[in-house]
Amino acid sequence: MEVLNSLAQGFSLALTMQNLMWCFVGVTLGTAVGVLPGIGPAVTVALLLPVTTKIDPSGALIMFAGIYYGAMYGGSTTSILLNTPGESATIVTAMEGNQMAKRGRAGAALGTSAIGSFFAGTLTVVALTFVSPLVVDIAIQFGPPEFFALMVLAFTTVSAVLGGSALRGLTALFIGLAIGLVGIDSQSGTARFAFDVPQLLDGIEVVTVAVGLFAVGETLWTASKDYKTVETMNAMRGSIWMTAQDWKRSWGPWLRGTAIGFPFGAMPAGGAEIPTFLSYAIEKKLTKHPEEFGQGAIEGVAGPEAANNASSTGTMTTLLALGLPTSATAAILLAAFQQYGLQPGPLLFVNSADLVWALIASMYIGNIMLLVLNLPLVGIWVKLLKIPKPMLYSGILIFATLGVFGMRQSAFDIFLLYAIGLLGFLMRRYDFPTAPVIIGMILGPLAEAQLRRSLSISQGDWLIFLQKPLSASLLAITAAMLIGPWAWKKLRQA
Amino acid sequence: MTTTTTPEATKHSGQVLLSVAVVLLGTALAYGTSQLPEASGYAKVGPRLMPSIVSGGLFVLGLLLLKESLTGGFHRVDEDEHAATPTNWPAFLWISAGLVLNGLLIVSAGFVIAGTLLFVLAARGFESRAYVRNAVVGVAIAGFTYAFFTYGLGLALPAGILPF
Repeated sequence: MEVLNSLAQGFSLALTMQNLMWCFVGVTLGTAVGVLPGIGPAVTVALLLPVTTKIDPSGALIMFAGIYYGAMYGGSTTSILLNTPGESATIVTAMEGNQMAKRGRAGAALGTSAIGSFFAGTLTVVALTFVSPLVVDIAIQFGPPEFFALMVLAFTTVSAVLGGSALRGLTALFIGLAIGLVGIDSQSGTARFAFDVPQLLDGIEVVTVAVGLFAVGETLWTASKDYKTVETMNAMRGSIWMTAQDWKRSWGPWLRGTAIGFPFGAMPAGGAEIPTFLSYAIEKKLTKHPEEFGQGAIEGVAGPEAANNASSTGTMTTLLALGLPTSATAAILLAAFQQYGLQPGPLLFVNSADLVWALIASMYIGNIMLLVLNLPLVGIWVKLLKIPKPMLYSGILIFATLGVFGMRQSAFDIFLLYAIGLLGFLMRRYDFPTAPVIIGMILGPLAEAQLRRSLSISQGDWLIFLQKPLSASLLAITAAMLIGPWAWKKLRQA
Repeated sequence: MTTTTTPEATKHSGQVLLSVAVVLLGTALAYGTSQLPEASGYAKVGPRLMPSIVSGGLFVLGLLLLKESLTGGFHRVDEDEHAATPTNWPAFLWISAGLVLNGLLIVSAGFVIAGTLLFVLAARGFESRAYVRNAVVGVAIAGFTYAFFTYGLGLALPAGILPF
């Protein structure tokens, strides 16, 4: 089998001392930032982008991917032990897991989430191994119109479908698209919206935007608005080794969570929130212990935890095989590829097969490392939660300036960082989602290239998007998603 | 529950301002787009195409936001809830000062000094007044990352007035 050969080749690269070390650094950092509030995988990968000039691509990308899926493990620890979720994908875990911890079952909750994450992570990497070559086979035949339509669909799902308001989501997306326009147009060489500022001619760095929105905006918000929240930490009680009864109640939710999470992550539907909520709802329906839901039911931790890990692997599939990022972290991973002049998508499997398969193989290894890091060693991470808020957020700001300055050695970027932090604060205040900004700024220029290529082929005729069956159907789905909810409301009123 | 309800008329003024800002951003981008060179070639696709779509989009989205803010406020944004927790502006300013000073000093004074100052000011924003201790922690964090990046990875950060 060709896939197995490629995978074996990948393992031979991933198992070198150096790459094992990068994998370990990645999953360890990932767990740490997953545990810590105020800093997540998107910011961490963004902050580390400057190191891409010093590390070889396979090492750096193995580390970055490790941060991404490692954070999914770490986030659950915070959700279970504190009353605030560490990552947005672990909101559901916080509901049941926190209740379990209050009742002295923190150990079992951490156990089922770590083992469930491992289970889902490994199973979905197997799926990624076999699914992505199939996707590549199809996508390699895509032309610019198909890619453009696919990107429009992804833009819509990440901004308009998820979140509280389609209008605010789309506004966030368009702000991201506008940021992506700044700088020299790669196709014509025209400077756009740069005002002759040299730093703007080079474009705005994704580090600055991601760190400004997520880290600086979040810090300003927490200090000035959220200062009243007092967090109470649950004690680490109960054995982390689950009882036979716990195992019996966990494996079904793990399987179902995995089955829900992977396709959700892999479709350009974006985000890990929806599959975790879905998994929670399903487990609540199927359970034999409905009275425990809301009081700490183990199924309500096992299912969503498997789902969020599965969806992160699903997102990796779409990113690698189609070049389509459907979460903020995936968008920054895409930027990391671009640092090396690589473009994720079907051609990556052809041109950089070694790198892709080493990355996939490293995900098998990383999940094993994460199981060890998060089960026997969970005590270390619990200590991270004891860092006082002033120290934690001030420390994050030092790292923020490090990553932003390190990218271009320019003090201008620090001021830009602060300005984007103010934007992040405003967006938080008025409940605008921030992930669409990142996805818009990274995917925007790629979409623009596909759009202009399509129109060049058709000599300026926009009907090209409707003449190709695939792009026409993708655009039809997009239109249905945008207009559907609104039309439905009008119909019901009538 | 909430005792501090803002009067209806001014309740959504922040939202209105924000919506107007989005409209203005769209307008400014549209003006900038009109200054870009005309597309050449047969297909008429050039550097103006995408900016036109983006500026038009922002303009329309801004108008829709404005309409929402004037007719009952943004969907699912509770202004009364925000009014109930007043913003701690001093905290906001301490952190802002830390970042702006960092931008001013990072090259001249160096990464470690600018970083330590940022750390102390930001911690003050979080109500931590143990200045000496915070400075020590700040020096430790900034110094360690400086050493690691400069000597470990070969990614030089500004030394500033420090000799190493």
